[in-house]
Amino acid sequence: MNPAHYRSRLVARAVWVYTILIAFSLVVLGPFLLGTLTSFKDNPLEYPPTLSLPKLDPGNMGAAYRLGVAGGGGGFFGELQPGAEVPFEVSIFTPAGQDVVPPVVQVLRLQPGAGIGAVRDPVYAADFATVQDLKAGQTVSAQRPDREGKLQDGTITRYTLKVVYPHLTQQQGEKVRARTPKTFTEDLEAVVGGQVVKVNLDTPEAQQQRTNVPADTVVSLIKKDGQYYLDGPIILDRTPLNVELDRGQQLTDSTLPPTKVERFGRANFFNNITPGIMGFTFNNYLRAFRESVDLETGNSIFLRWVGNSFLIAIVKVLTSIAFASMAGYAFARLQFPGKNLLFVLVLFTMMVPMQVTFLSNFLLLRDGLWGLSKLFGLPNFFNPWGLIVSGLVGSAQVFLMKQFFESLPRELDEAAAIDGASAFQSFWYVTLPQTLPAIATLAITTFQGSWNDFFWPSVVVQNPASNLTLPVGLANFRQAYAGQGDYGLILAGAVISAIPIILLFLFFQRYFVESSVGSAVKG
Amino acid sequence: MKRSLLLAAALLAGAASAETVVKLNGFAGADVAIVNDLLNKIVNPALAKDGIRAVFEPLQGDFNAALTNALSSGTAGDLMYIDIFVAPGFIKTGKLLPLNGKVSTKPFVPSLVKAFTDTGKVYAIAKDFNSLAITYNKDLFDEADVAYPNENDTWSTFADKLRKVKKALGNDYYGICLPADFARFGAFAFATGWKTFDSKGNSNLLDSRFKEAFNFYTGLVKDKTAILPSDLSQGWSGGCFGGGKVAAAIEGAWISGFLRDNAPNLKYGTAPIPRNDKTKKRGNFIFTVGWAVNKDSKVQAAALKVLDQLTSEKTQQFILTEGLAIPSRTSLQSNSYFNKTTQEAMNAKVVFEGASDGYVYGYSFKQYGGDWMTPVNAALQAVMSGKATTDEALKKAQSDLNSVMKR
Repeated sequence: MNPAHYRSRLVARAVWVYTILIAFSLVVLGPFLLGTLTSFKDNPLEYPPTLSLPKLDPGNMGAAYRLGVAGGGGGFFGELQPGAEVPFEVSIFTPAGQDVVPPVVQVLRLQPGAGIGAVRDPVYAADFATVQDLKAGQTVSAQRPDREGKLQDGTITRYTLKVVYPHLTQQQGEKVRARTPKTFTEDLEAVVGGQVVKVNLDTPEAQQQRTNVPADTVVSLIKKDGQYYLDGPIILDRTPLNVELDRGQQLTDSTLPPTKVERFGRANFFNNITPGIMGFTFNNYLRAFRESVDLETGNSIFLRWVGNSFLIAIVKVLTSIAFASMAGYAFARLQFPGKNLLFVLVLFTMMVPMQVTFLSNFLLLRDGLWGLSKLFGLPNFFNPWGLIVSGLVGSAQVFLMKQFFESLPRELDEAAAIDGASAFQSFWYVTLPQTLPAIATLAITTFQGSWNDFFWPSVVVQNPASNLTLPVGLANFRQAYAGQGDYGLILAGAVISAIPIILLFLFFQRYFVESSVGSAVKG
Repeated sequence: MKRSLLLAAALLAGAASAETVVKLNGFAGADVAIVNDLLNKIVNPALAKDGIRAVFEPLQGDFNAALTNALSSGTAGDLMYIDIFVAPGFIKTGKLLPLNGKVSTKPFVPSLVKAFTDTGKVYAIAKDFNSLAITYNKDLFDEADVAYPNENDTWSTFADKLRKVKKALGNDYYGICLPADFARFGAFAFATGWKTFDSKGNSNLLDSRFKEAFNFYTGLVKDKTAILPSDLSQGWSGGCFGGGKVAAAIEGAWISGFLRDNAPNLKYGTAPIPRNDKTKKRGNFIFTVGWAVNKDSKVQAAALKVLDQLTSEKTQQFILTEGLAIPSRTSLQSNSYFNKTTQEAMNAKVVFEGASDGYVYGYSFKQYGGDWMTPVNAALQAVMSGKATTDEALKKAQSDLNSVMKR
């Protein structure tokens, strides 16, 4: 056996092992990666599916930033503010022998698609902004394929236009950003610094627009001599633009790529021409937060779901550590009658699948644990508290801690006992400080289990929507948006929900591995 | 002293503003927007003087499963949607309040009242209804230079038009989007005179009339004129149609709201479901959802008042003009909205007329519910994807169905 041959065999084996590992991780991570990519798409259901992502193209992101600035809301969270002039360009191909006619461009009045976001009465950009100065620029001759793919001669004309949102008042003064009250009032009012103030409509345009300013809307006011004048509502949602061409013409280029092309390329729809980077690239993520609002309070409910999931997971982690370490210590170190029977019972609860016990647990929670919930003013435990109460500690966790305690040398406890320590002191001062790795393992697995748990929370927390945990909330997204084919938003929510677990895994991989090995091997 | 005064004032204020809250359960999705609009604009202002406030709590996930769960755990609302499809099952639970003597059913379309009646008792009031129609993409027909579908079409002339469109536009385009679902296919089966349950209560899938419809429907897919929504990565034929690559779809009035949001530039028309060549009749389904009152509700009287408002003329007028569904009150069926020429209004008119033209049956399957459709849908799927012949698939479906109905 010559050493060179041996080395090459070693290298070949390493290559094989790595190839297999990489293939395996791609298979496992594939759905997550594709889901993440798809969450950036405008049309997640596009057919055939492509990997081209105009949303992540730096050129488009730059354009989105500049348009966001032009709209007045800044380059990240675009808005359309009074006084904004948004420049836009489109290039249009006209086949030879056809008249070069300018496109019909208009700001569309579109309701949000579906889900809870469609509830709010939005401010429509179409009511306030108009398209002006549509001008033809240079024309160059070019060739483009037609619908059958045959090249045809023609010309490409570049058009410039502006979307203008005129001020509704002529007054000059300090700009104030405020909100209209939650209920609609005949005379326009706004909340400035906690005070409700009257807003003057000093131009005929402003008076005509009164009905287009709904309750609970962000408005821009001009403050002059202690009086407030309506400058106009601030359009947070979007400025949709439609560019319609003649039959045969094609759109070849535009400041932003069109969101939807219909009617054989005749109708080109831009979902938002003042997006800013967040509104363009991360639009689905923004919508996940913006469109999931609590109908009662109007606050984003997505954050509530994240908060509920965190609260439940963290409380469960703390109680699990407390109870499992104490119970584990008792099983490992103390002698008392019926210990083995008790331990078998604990193991038995591990062996019964959850689907068997969930009905009896459900009934217990329905009665609020024999009425205990009434002490906290709850008629039953069908709320996040019920999830906490039913998951204080699990038998698997007790088992894990017991095994770990048994792997520690008994001599330490005996030494503590000789020094006159009680059982609890010996547990608290001697044994527990040595079990940090086991406790870390316990914390991580409990957190992960609680964060990803779906079945039990979906049974326990139903209503109101602000009570849900994140996985159940995402299922509710599916109900609200999947019918419309709006999977981008659902995937965005799913990506957000995966982030904590991914971080946890990156930082604590070591303990994940240990949890499966450490509890089984007695040192 | 000061503090106790404040406390007393706060308590008094609380007592003065005490209101009865009535909770409503319904679908999530687009209904959230619609029902809340109704509550804010019509129902709550009308009931403010009685100190009643209605709150909509949509149920997440699979609505019927969630409602079953909520009813059994006692967390269900005071009023809830009941779909005609599952009404028999929910009525049998005994959790719904019989409405006889509490609500007058006279102003409503009789067939819709019947849909929610069991042994002479009415358990829900239809909030609206829907049927099926052919929605077609005008641009595709224009581009292909083929006449639009119309009310004189029979199965063969309709299929002919679709084939011509497909031929003219080439491989990226399809004539129609057909799901493997009895909820759409049933309209063709009924047109032949076939019934879901014969006089003895049996379902015969091997009937020659059922086969005729089955062959027509699956044949369109076999010769590539039609495509399954899933083959265009869509969940339903409305999404398929909204993509602009399919010339027609079979859907109800709900498609117009969807298209307004998702395909703002799509120019579409609506035609009735084509007639069967032999019987010269059309077939159709009636889809309806009713409002039912929870028998265990603590605020039954208030819930009934809210129910009155939810099914009032004013509410139904609003639902109609928003292009959401067809009102269930007979008085509204001569409404001027039906004569408007917008594409949404024309769609509503065709859908409305479809509910009383030819062999029309409610979308429900006795106590079997969705289980009845499972074998039939499996047969459609098998034949449309080329995995089985019609005879094999129907034979299997018949035996599966027999075991479902024996349970």
